[in-house]
Amino acid sequence: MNEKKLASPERRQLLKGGAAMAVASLGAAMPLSANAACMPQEKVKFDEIVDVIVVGSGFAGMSAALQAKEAGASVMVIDKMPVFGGNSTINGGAMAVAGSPLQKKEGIEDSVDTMVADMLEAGRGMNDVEMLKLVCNGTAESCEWLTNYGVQWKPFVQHFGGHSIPRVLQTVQSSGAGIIRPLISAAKKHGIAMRNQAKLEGFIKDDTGRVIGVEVREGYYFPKERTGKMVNIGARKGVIMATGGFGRDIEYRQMQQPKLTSELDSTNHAGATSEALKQMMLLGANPIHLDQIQLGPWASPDEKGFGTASQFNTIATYPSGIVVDVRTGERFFNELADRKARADAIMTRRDADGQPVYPIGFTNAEGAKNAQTLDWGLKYKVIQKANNLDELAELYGIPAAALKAQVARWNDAVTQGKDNEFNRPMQKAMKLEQGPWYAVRMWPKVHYCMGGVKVNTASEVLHLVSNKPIPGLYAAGEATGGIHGASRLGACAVAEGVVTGRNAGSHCANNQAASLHLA
Amino acid sequence: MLRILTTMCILMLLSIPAANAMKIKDYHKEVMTGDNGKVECSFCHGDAKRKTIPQASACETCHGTPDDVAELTQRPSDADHDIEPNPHDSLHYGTDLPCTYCHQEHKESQVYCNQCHEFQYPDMKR
Repeated sequence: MNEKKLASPERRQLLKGGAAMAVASLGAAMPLSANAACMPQEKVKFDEIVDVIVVGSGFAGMSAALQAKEAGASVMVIDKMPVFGGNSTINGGAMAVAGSPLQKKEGIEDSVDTMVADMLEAGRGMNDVEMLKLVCNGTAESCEWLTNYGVQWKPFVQHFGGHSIPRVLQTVQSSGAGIIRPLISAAKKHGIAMRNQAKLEGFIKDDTGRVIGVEVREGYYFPKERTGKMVNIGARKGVIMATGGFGRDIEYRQMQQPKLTSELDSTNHAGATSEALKQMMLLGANPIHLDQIQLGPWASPDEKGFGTASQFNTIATYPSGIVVDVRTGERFFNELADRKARADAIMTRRDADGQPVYPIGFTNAEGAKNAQTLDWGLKYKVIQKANNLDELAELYGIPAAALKAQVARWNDAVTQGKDNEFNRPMQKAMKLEQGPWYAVRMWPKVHYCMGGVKVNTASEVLHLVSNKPIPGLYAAGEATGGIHGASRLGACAVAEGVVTGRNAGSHCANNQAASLHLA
Repeated sequence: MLRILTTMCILMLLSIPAANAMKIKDYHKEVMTGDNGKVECSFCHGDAKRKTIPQASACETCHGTPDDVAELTQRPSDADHDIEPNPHDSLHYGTDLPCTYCHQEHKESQVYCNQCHEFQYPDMKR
């Protein structure tokens, strides 16, 4: 069979009824669909047509969809998974905001410039500064926008690692679900078509090269490639790619970073794979920083994925406790450094054979008072309780005297307001004086892809050769690359997703409409 | 000619027992068995070809809407961490997850949430 002929949309239409197996086999042949997708506009017949198609339903996708709807566009959101929200709805729900009302209430002075400076420092100067400024500048207004859609925040500001000051808000649910679920409800209420089990297989372009739609596998049962049936959906104004990263695509991530083998767990959902990114690259999108893959330094090897420890360490151990080497009882890094510095530090703890020696992070009841996952972590024995430091030492085989000496040194540092050992910011540091103690074993997990496609400040995807926008193609959130440079700061993915998603939605909705025809 | 017809008949006969040889849960077997004593695949699969995963709407015909099902497994309002979350109304996904991602008819069922969590649902029919 002639492969090119097989892959053309017209041929696909012919195949759709009878030869279902042949259609199904096309799913695996991804390059074909891009080669064949360029069609004279009047010849393409669509099964459905909307103004804006959003691919992906995380922070970026849902924000893009609602913003485009607000601008008057008809919108469809497709997601290949059986559920909406991707990584966003299973994340910690923390958003960095420069100049929030809560900061003002607590007397914390912040500015867009300070946030940009913090993110540049963590990013080792590799950041796309224009996009970075766009994100930071949009956080305060986007936070209010989310609140207006029903998002509820905890009544205090948190200090996450790598930020020079406390600026992190968190949903009351301690989960991104506290953002995603209200946005999905609003989307359904406002008539946005929400399609799960709908996988992007390729783009459809007109003869000028403008993206005018997508080939979608409807009724897709992840991860079975031969399920569902192919349809063409038209997008008069454009397609917004909010397709996330590829943290769970072990083959592709290892091409970028050979050390990120299957032995490293990931906090990501199973759908965090690379095929949408590859489709954009086939259109000529410029991939940047793909080898910048972040490990989450707050994860535990004693559970799967993000689990209970990540939350516990973020809100309790790191700001209000310390992390020690189990062999010496001593601290060995700044617990409020950025994620890369912390993950790199933890992964130096190995025995003579190179096997991990999991460090122990701990705090006391006072330090853990805001940790909603504490009880769940105790239930599944990821977090362990000890009544005094001797018990804690015995629990993990730490030399007790050394551990107690370290705690005493830490308390002195808190008194002085200065950490001479590792120069940790001490604004929210507290003395560790009384049990009970709560502790976890720690080891990083693959968490976030800083890399992705290059976009401009109108969220248009830029072409690798011309460096000009690919007409009709927009991208937002983790699918884009460069904003965070070498290391994303905590709570900045929600900020990025919401701000760039809205930016893409707004620009796409204002794009000139192409004239498309139903089948 | 006769030989061809015989071959065709044998092939057809072979294909029917193949469908009915699929493992099926006891509690479903009774309601899915038609007057001819054979399991009616179309109860779940409709007119779709074999191996097509049924739409959740097929489950809803007998079991009610996702909201109905969620109500059956509701937690008491004062439930603490001793009681597992409602598997049919997730903090992350609401009632969106189609039935078939956990409940598998022809092989062992699994808990979608347990890709990350360690929830125990001993009453789930595997």
